Amino acid sequence: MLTTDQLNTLRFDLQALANIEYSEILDELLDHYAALTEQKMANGLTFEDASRWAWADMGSGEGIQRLQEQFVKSLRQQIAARHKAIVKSYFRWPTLVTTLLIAVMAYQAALFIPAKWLVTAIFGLGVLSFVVQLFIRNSSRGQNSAQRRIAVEYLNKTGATYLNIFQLMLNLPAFLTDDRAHLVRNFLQSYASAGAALGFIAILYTVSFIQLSYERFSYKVA
Amino acid sequence: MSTNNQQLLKGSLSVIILKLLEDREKMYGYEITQKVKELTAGDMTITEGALYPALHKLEAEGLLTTETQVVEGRVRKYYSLTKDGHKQAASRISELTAFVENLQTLLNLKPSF
Repeated sequence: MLTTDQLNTLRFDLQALANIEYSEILDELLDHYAALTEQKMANGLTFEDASRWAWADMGSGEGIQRLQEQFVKSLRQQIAARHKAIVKSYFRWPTLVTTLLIAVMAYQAALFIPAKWLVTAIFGLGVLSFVVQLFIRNSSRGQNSAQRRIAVEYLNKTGATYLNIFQLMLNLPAFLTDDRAHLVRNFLQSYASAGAALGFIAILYTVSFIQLSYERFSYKVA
Repeated sequence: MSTNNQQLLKGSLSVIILKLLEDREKMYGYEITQKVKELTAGDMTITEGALYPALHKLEAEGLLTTETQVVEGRVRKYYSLTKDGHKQAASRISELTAFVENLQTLLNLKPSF
């Protein structure tokens, strides 16, 4: 059985020489590295020699690093595939019909709502979703679990899509009022319906992130 | 073990893992490599570079589940078959067995002149 100091030496090798940074893969490789070292020590080698042989058997720094790369790549693919499946599961007929109904309702209601409130409400929809995303990112800060870190990286990357929807919502008035300043009523109605539909889609997109983060961040190495 | 053997082994590694886990309740990475070595009298060795990606892939497919235990001051990750894993193990093993039998038939063909 290896001493704590010896285990720390092996852990240092993995972290410093092979840049193993994710706890899941580090624990697994440390156990393997330690077991190999113990086996060689049982054959009469000193800890230093045994660990050197074990390191070489495991593929040295480059080989071990490749294990982490493959692990991360596979995890990224799993997260992207799961998110795609979540988003796809939302966009069925009930969601499409609801989105359309929300847009029609907003179109009808726009006439009775003051323009300032309307713009604020739609802006609020976008901000709400954005705040949720920021909360997800911050809540997992400082975690070294691969599941969490890679899911957050994915969130940051794909969050750009959301931001584009949000930008579109904000820029919609300018787009719709181009050369049509006199059609204030039409503008308000169009903006309200398109904005509400986009807002609804943005919220669904955010909900998909919440579902994904709940699944991934709550992942536990049992 | 030759490079050709390594290639053959890599192609059937997931089935080997499923078979080993079908016969035992749970195993950890190093144990799997040692078991393969022992069962084949050292003819076959599984490298870490092939084993762990295969284990992680099977886990991602939902065929394996994991649990960790602290053993001798370090964390040990044990793999075991899920319900789906048991079903898949049976089907993949019989597929590979049939393939190997067919391969043997082909390789044992006598040349006809």
